[in-house]
Amino acid sequence: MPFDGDEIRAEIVAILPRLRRFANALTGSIDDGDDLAQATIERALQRISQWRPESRLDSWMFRIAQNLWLDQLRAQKRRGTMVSMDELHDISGSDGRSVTESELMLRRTQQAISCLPEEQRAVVALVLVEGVSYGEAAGLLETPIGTVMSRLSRARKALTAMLEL
Amino acid sequence: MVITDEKLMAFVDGELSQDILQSMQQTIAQSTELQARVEQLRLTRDLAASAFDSVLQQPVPQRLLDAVYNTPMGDQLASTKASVVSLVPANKVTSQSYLGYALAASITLGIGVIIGMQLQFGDVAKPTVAQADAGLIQASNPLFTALQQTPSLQAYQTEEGGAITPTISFSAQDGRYCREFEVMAGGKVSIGVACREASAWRVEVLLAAEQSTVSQQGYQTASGYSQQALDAVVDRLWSGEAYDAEHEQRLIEQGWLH
Repeated sequence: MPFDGDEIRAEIVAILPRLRRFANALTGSIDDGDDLAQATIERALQRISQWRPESRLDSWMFRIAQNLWLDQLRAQKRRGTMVSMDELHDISGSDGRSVTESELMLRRTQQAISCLPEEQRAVVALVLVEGVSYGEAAGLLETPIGTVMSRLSRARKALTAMLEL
Repeated sequence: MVITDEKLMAFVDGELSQDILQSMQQTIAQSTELQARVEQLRLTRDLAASAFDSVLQQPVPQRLLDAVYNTPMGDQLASTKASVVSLVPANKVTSQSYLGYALAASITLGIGVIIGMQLQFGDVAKPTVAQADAGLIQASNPLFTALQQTPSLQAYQTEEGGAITPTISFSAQDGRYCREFEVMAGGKVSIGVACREASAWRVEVLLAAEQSTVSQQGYQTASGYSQQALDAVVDRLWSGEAYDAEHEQRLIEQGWLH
């Protein structure tokens, strides 16, 4: 057995920063992202017997996060709360402090990503934010690689338009 | 050569095989329109890649660490736990001078970062699993200045009224110089490890610290998951060499570069 319980927990701690970033990219907010990260950790540990130690623990957890997020979205849609495009233009330093131009651009990018359709957002979060390869993303999302590419291409066209690049 | 959106994107993302790559480069070189599209694709990639990095520079919230250490594991793997030694056995020390240094550290600091005593020198590194990928700290960041200039156990005061205290310096298995440090800001304490890379310090991990407790030996030790988690990361990096004050001063003078 290559891993024991303590090692798995230590390994998850090492993955935490990236799991938080991925969850933040999916949900569009740090708080919601941390809720998702927490649910992901809990589910991963409860179902740890389903993880095959020869596969990557981080990829497996990203997949759990992505599935939990889709479940949440379905629930959210029933409640009728969706991110509005208008928010894209209302981001002038919501915490009151002044922001630099590049910081502003990063915030606009965050907002623009959160406006993408969910299946495009998932591909962007995996490939662009986390640097996962097309092939890995296809495996993780259980979709053909061609679908990953067309979603990613459409997402980038939308980002280019929204950010006026 | 017809270049579809997807193909151009795969070119920018480095997903094309070597043989196609060359003919693509030639075609793109002849078209300003294609060059502009390549530039747009690069921009979306670069922006998205860094848009969410701020979360990497924040301490991992306690509730997530609680989830990692308190969630019971489902069957199989968890059942092997009892037969395996913990990652961080107490008081396993191989170097006498290092022990002295760690003790001095904990006494002087008085706020509970005692690291040396818990280090294990076994082979715990797992090359196949992902390393923590926290952010790069550039020269404009106060943490950079603190790590670069401040001897261990001395506090670097930030302009915002916080304090950063490096606690120990050591060399990593990959040759980088690394430092553990403690950040006090807004009444909260975080602990972390950063390693020097060519142009910046890379924070390997940064964790919110729990309240420390007074041990029977009369000095305070950091306790709980944060310290365990930090130790696990240090174990992973550790080459077996910690630096004393004199050696550390030389490293400060040479900018922590080889």
